[in-house]
Amino acid sequence: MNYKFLPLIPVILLALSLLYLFWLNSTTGLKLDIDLKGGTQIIAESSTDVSVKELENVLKSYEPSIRTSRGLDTYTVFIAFDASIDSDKVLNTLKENGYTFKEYSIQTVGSAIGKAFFEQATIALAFAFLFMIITTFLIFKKFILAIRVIISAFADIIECLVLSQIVGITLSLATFAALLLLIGYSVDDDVMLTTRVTKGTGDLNERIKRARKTAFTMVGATIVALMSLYIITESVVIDQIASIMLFGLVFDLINTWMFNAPILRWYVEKGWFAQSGFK
Amino acid sequence: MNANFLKGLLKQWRILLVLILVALSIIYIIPSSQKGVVVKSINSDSPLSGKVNIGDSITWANEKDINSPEDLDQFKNFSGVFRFIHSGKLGLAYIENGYLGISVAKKPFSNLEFGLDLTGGTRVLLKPKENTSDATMQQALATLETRINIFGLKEAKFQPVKDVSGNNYIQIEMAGGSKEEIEDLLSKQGKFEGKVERIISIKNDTGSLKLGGNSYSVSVENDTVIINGIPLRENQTSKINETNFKIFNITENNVVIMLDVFTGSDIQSVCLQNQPGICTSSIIKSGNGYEFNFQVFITEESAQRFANVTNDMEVVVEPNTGYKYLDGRIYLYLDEKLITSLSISSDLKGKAYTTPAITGYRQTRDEALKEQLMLKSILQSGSLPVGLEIIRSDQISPVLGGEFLRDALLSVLIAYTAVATVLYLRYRNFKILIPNMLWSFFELFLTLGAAALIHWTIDLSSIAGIIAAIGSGTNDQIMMIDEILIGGGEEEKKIYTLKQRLKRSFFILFGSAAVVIASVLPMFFVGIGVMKGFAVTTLLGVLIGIGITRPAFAIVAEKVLSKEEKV
Repeated sequence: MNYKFLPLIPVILLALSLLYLFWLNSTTGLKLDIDLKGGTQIIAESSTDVSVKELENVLKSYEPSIRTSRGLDTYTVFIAFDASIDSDKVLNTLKENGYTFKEYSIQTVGSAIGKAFFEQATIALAFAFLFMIITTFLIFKKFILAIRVIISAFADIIECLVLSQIVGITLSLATFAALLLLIGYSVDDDVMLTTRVTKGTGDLNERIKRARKTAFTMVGATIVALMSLYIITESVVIDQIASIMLFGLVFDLINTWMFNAPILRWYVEKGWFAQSGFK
Repeated sequence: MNANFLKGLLKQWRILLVLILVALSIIYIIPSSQKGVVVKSINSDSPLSGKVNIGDSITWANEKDINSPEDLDQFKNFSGVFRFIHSGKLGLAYIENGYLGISVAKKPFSNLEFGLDLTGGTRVLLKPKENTSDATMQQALATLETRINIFGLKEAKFQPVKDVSGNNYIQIEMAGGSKEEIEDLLSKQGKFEGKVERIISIKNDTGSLKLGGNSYSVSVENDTVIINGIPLRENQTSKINETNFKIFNITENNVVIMLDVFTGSDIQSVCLQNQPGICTSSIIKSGNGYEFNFQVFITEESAQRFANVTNDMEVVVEPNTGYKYLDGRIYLYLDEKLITSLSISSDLKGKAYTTPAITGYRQTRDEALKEQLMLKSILQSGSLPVGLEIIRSDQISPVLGGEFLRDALLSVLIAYTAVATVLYLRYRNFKILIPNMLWSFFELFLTLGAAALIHWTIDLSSIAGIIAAIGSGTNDQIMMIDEILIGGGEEEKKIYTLKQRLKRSFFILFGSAAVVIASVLPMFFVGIGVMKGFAVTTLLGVLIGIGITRPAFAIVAEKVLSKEEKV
């Protein structure tokens, strides 16, 4: 296949993701964590597996949303409900029905403060993106070189957000932090690829291939590290950050090597690069 | 790798710098001496108050080594001079019946401070119910602190916080406790009393008390004092000249009584903020320190009572300053606990002012402000100047927090192993793998050391940031190794020297570090610092990486790999 058609795949992926996001926004809206929408969450530890269905039945009157996660040697149950409900009542109902959790944490967030945090996080994301655009232009100096890196970082974030919403990872302060970090990580291999290709000599194909080898080693190392974090810890913060980064890195591979690299190659082959005197 | 090769590496200052800083970090994070106990809280009436600070470590007291909180129990019944070494300095205090008035804890294993989500506890965020000025928020904070000191909940940390939009909040963190306890604290209001002390001289078991223009006879018989014909013992109360009083102390030479002058309902208002023409509240530099001053508005009735009680008091002149004051002080109580006392200026003797000013003097501006705020909150019966509501609360089980920390450490170790496996599969060379992994550990210790140095509290988001920084460090190292090994292929190796290729890789490193820094910075301003830890540790890690460890790694990689190439 002609490499010039490769960018179609990431472009279609981005278009579909944007469509899904608009659809989601106009229907139910983004799924938010209690961090950002307000509510109460009980995080309880259990030594045995707990059936989500049974729990939902027991706590029906509180309209909770319940999920469980399995750790190394324990199970963790997350019970979220409206902030107006007294958490002691929920704990009592659990107790009356034979659920006794030795250890639990309770988090309550008022809806107003949640909303304020959400606004702040959105603004922070916008600023991070803006800073990234400025830094990218400073590094690459050439419009086409910079803009394709910016587009692929944008695609990374949108696609990552869409996938996390589909698999049920809610947007929280931690996932926002991971999205910010993703901006940094996604530009990483673009800088490497572009520098190797534009500042190197020799066969162009070879240069891209070598850069890809390096990038895949980098991503491979990061992915196994994130997997260990995700599997072992039961902390919501670390789990959310790890899973968002995992998704993000996979999308970054697609966007960098199917979108960025072909455009760069085309750019260099056209001889624009040599004319620009970038070297 | 032979000994000469290692020696050669150690001659490089960048590598030496990394090794020295790593060693210093480890020493700083894990101090060898675990001796002593750490002061966690100090009561306002503690004999050690003003002599030790929270966070000081006490290592020795009256010839005994102190290594655990239980070691202080041996002074349970001790009265006398208490000599102690705190943070290396000797301190003296006079204690009675073993009352130290401080709480202490065993010295922690490391200098790292861990956040609430790892140690367990309660954190609440309070928001004023209406728009408030900074001064009112400061007063609310001081009032909460006063209440905590009186009602318990000692190990609470208060912090005023502001979000990007300029809204004020108060954050309370407690090691133990629950949301309910804080709700209690918010709803509680104390009972304020102001009492004036009168000292009656006794000669040959008799004396007299002048009050409101009248003279009353006083005589002492053993542990009983007879005032105006009424026999009373210490702590008994009675009424004289329409004023309630309590016998405070009886000795051979004098009798001290406390006369009730003010209660909470007598204080109509306290000047919180200076408003010219309305009320005054100020702190000004005076001599070597700072003088604070604020006005209080009291009822006519209580002003008259004060005039009555002070009318017949003696004027004493302070020999050093020439300052004239009355021979008895005014004592301020909240919920029957003595909080503080003030001397009464001789100008006020027998005067019924309804707008008296309270002044005081402290060495530093901060101390003066703190004292002023504390006095204001007592005079307002510890009532809050503005309604506060809990808008966010986190109650974290210490067991779950501890498990998070354990899991995080374990997962970092496993992540290291996993990364090492990937690197080995790619390079099949231990000479590349070992420095790579070693440098990742160096970065971990340096980042933790820097965090400890700036007293950054390590919470879960900080751990995530450290991992992110080390991850990007490993990526950079892979890039540098590849630049050396396969850089631009055979042709390029002829054109560019190894040094030139490494230089090019630094362009990439700085570029990507700049983007990471730029993208993480805005996190500082989100959610009142909930994710600040993430931003701080990521930044620390990235800066340490490009400033200290990466240049050193370049030298090692260059030496190891150029040797490889020759072989």
